[in-house]
Amino acid sequence: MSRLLRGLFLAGLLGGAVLVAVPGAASASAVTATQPGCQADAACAALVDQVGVAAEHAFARATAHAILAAKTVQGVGFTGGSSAVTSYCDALPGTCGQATGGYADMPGKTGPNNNPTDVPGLLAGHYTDPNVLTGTTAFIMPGGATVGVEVRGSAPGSRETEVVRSDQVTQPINAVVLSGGSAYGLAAADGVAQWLEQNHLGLPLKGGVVPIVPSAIIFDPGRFGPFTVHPTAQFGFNAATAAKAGPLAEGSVGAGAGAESGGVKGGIGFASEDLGNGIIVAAAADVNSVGDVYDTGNACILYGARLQLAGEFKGVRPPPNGCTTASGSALAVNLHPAQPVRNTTVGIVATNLALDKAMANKLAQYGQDGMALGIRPSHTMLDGDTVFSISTGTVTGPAAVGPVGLPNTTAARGAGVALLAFCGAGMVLLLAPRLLAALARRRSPSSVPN
Amino acid sequence: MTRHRVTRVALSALATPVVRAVLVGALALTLVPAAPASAAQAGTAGSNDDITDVGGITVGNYTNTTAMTGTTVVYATSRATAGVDVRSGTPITRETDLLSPVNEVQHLNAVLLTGGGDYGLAAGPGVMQWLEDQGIGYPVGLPGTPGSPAQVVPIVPGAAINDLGNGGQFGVRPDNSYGYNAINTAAGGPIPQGNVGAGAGAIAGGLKGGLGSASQQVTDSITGQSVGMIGALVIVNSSGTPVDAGGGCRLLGAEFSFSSDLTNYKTPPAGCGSYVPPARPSSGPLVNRGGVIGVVATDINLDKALSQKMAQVAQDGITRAIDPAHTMFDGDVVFGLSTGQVNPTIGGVANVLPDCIHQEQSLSDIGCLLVMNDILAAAHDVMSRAITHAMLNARSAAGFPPSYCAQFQGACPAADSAPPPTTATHAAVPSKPSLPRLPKPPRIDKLKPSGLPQLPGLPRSGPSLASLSLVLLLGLSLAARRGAPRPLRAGARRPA
Repeated sequence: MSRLLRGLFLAGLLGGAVLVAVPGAASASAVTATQPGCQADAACAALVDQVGVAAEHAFARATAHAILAAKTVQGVGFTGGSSAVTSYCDALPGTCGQATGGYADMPGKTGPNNNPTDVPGLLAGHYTDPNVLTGTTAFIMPGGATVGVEVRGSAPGSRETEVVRSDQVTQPINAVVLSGGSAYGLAAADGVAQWLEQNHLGLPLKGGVVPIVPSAIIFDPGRFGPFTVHPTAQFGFNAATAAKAGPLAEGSVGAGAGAESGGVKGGIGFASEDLGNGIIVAAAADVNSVGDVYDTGNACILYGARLQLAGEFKGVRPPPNGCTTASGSALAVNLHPAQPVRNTTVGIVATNLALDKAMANKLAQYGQDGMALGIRPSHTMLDGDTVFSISTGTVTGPAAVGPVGLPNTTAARGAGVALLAFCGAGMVLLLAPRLLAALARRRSPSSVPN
Repeated sequence: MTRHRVTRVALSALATPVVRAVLVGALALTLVPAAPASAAQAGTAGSNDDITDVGGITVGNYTNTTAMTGTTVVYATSRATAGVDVRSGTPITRETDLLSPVNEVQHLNAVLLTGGGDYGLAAGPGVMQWLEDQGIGYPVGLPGTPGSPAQVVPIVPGAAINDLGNGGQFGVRPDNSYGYNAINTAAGGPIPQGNVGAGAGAIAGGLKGGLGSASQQVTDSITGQSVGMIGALVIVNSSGTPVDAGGGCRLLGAEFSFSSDLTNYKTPPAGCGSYVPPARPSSGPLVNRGGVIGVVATDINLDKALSQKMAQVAQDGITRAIDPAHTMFDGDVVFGLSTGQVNPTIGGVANVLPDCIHQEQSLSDIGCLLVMNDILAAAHDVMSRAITHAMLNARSAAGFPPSYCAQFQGACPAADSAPPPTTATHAAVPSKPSLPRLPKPPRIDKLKPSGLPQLPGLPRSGPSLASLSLVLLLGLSLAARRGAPRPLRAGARRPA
């Protein structure tokens, strides 16, 4: 019996040693989550670069989708706000819904829905207030994601941006929330956290989970309704409940409901690109900018539409009469509206490529360059331009791009340590009496039988 | 079959890069109304249309025309408040940390822009030495006396481009004599542009890059009045391309240019022709392969934070003019400088902009914030224009790809020819210009240790706690066994 036990414990000790040692050796070549990726590795950097440029373009394309889907708001008859804002399509007749003369394609193809839910592991949902144009859009990652952020506006409204920066501890993030309502609208993220808790998603702790919900807002209070109406926790909860993969409404919905961009109605827009190598890149842009999404120096063509993939802006062409509006006046640069208020464009860029935190933050930088391509000027004193990046990590590149396999490595090592401890203790218990007895025999002649 | 489907089929069938570029270019020309060459933004350039139009800014260059590398110094003659924005994967910089708004030093004396990659940062001390000789810098000790300059530390932040080996000579790179000579020649404009200073060895997207500069008035867009001057100086050396390869290879920055920038400039008559943007890097060591480095400067009084903000938005001007910018392979760095000579008149009152903005004004009195926005929009545009100037002034050189004007014949006002064959005969390295005074560093073998104090003796290590406790345990168990022998557990052998 004891011989059998001894054999078992010995085998356990050996197995534990292997489990501890071998993943350790493997992880030496992989990058751990606390190191920046792509150290001295051009192949890895090239992959990040490819995804980054696609994200940059996707964000710029999303700004065009946002502005094209936005609908003219007629006067709503409340006091203290702007009463009517025309959409780009309505302001420039003969531009949208045309049979011929579209923008040229760039090489490349969109994902099936041309929105962020083309990225595996990413769901999205809107909630729009039924009475006042404001709302919330939630991006849900049930399997967790690495998130980065780049804040480049001078009037940002945000929460949980510090924890996703490169130098902080890696946390799996299950949601990113965009909302109207200025700083008040950050309350919507609380509702998303509540929804995540009910679905047991978040950082697992003893007794429950803690969802980490980064969020950024746009300024829309008082624009199309009373100043005091803004998104609440209920908005976030409803948006998370509505989250799904598939086609998603664009324009004056969710966080884009109350948006205004330059002189025209703003909104939320999406775009995605299938890189053809298993990697999907996507963006969402909630366009509520001081600057314009069209080139007032060049016939008011849409900046983002010049990056069209596969005829995605079908029916839209450069304005036939340039910047001349239906009323005969010029579509003005709206840098100084009569009633200057705060603006802000927020959004996400997302990919299924596994990235570590440093590279995720780099991806958010590429997203901000997409904003600069799509909106001119961006990042002004009156904008709080913020872009989150989301890496769901369902596709892995070279080891150095991200902490590939690290969770498994950690688990295996943990199991090895536990096995070593258990079998070691068992071995000691088995052998100790014999050792003590042997010692006692040698040291104490009185106990030796004659 | 719709037109875009034709495009896609054609693209998949004809996948070679050359055909693709020509095809996309041709389609872009047919489908999008090509921007007429006269399309330009409204605005007023300064008299030199370069950064020296900003009061308190001069520029000096030192160029090694044989090895094609060099150094450029933007000199703030009465110092400047400054910030920096670094937005790229492989930046090469010095003294950027002190520019953070949370750090103490408020002003810089000069900005170093240089070739030579990381080696090229060696030009910085030469700039410092020249400034020290004049007694210019951050005061840290005694004031100057005749024959003995003030005890100062010149503040010279800088950035470098990696032009090592561009033109064929990897081993020749700027040292401190380049920095000294560059600032020693600093003067007002008009300044030379193209293959000069740090722009000598620059390559941008498979074309000869170079130094470019531009200036323009900052216009209060409410009153239409000029509130100050802004200028940019940039070294265009990028992994991305400065041309619209999908739109007839027009310069991307031309979109934000004034008609004065584009006098006699035309969209390339033959489209992109044989030009294909270089493939993105995909192997080899991860080093800086491009980097647009530059300065945006204004005479409007800003603090460090607002100067940094101006640099940040000027980076957007690079985003617009280079496709793509700020990549893993670029070292894009922009310094923002304020010489502080002008407090803009807003609502009839001269305003110190930072104070005015930081007062968190009410909605009806937001003028300062809006003027700051005008500065930012101008910073964006002036940077794009400076990049356009760099590309139009760059000239083909042995061992380099052709210049924009040589590659796209008929586009430029001043024609350029294709570069000579790339089998450049590497001329002997020219003798370096001598410095007037370089203090000799003390010889290392003469440096004696200044008598290190003897370390106190460590206590002799005794038996460890673990071994003590083990002995104790064993002793206890033996004592227990001797005192009262207890029956052993079943399965153990009982002493006979």
